[in-house]
Amino acid sequence: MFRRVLGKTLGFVGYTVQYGCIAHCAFEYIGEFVVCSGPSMEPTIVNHDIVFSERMSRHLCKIEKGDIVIAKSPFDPNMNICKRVIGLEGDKVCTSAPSDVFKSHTYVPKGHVWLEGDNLRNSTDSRSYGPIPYALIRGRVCLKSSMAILSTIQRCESVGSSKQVCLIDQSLDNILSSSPFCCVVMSLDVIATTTLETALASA
Amino acid sequence: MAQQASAGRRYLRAFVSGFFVAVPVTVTVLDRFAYVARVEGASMQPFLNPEGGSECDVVLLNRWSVRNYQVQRGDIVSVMSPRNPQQKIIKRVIGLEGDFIRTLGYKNRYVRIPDGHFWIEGDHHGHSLDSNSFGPVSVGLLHGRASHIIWPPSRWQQIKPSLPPNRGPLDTEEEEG
Repeated sequence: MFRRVLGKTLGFVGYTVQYGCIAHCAFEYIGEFVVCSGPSMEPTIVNHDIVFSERMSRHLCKIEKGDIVIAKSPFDPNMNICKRVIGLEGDKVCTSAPSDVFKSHTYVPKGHVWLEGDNLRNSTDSRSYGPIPYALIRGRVCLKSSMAILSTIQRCESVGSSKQVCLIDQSLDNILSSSPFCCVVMSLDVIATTTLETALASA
Repeated sequence: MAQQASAGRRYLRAFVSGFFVAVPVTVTVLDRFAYVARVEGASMQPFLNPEGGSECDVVLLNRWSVRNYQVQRGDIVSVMSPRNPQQKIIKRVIGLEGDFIRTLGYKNRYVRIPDGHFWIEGDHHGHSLDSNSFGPVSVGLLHGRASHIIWPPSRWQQIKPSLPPNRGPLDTEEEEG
């Protein structure tokens, strides 16, 4: 009797450890769902959008200009920020506000990236705290889901001084709105809320 | 013949299930709890790699104790290099956020460390690429805290936090130092 209970307990603990480890590997090396809050990435990502961030391109150093990334905030490692990569190492970027008459430029140092929000008026980003190290990037945002519409976020081709916001909503909704994917996203919400937060923008 | 095939299948199944247990468990332990790393280079002499040359120390990095990004002054930590994201560097923490630090060859003589950053230096001044060349480092780059030297066996020991003399944070009144 006692032996059977002990064996069952041990088996349960073993399965818990195994599935916990598999979950850790999935979140660390494949991707995770994140709820974004804050206005800094409007209109691409609005408040309370759920996005999927994939980890492999960060581990393989495949982050490119125009990608939207989730990174640790350089001033508070427990907070995450969601921004668009404007410049990689060695690029010349514009550091002044869009309304300024005199533009100032700087070069991104080695091993760093330049991040800016799409909502340039209302975003705390590299223009206020400078370039951030590449190793703070946690993942690349590749899917977003808002109000049962799944849209792929496409890499913005023409970034630079013009900084157009181009989100191309490929209408996948006729393919996917009938699929159970959105329900999956909603149920994964609970896991994702631990790693949410865009930088709360101070005007 | 049929018996042999079924035995082969049983071995294959055992191998696959063992593989699916061993790999995630190993990865999780290395990511969350402890990591073993070889120290290369002369930047932490004389504490690590005292001989130099081909002898390399192996240290145990405790990753569980830095899960909330809490370190003390004097700890030896490993940090993702801000210059090269593929590389990790091992240095000693000299100052935490808010401290005033006297720098050794940085562009400013005295630096106040901003929030969410720390100041790291190698023990071997002049042979170390540290905060004196790239400034304060964000705490988010922290990778682990070196807790034990495990190789060579003759120097097996626990690593205690210790600041080099005269390298603590400055109080506001003795800033002349």
